[in-house]
Amino acid sequence: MIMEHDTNATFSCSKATLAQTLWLLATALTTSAGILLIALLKPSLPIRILVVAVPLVCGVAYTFRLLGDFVRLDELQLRIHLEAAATACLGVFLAVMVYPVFRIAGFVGELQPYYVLFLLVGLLLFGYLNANRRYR
Amino acid sequence: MRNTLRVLRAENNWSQADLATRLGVSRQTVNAVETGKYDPSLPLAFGIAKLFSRRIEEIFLPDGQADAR
Repeated sequence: MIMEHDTNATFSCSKATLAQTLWLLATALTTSAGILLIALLKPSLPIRILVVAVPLVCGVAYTFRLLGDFVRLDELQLRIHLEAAATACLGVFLAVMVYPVFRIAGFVGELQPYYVLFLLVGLLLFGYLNANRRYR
Repeated sequence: MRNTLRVLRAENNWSQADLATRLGVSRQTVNAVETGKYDPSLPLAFGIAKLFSRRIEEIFLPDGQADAR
């Protein structure tokens, strides 16, 4: 019996990862280039709108690609991703809740948005690798 | 939950990858089910049962139950 899932999930997962990585790289590169362009050249309004729009389009494309690829995952892979997302969400929630105590105690400075971003990505990766190892 | 998936697969001379292809899941899923690390969903359990022409309870057994095979 052939079920309705992708019959070559591992292969399609690799292809999906490549496309996702390319869109993510495009987002990062256009964002960096845009910041440099605006800071150095001080372009006119239409150019600035374009500079803002291009990374946004790449980011939206990346998001749609990511969500579309989730449909192709089988039930165990979905579970692994869900566990990784749960680890990341709970970890960030706890860190943000506890951070003010550390700040008042003088151990850390003001909370910066990119701290949260790094923590989120780190915990997502940790959760993914941990769940993947458990079901190996 | 225990299962007899490895035995059934061996009877058919299928590798984990063969079985995964027939079921439309990844090889990691087949391995996790076989080793008891992951209990499959009901649709996947029905798919496995249909593939081997068995009833679900002939393949999947509760932990305390003696092996039916």
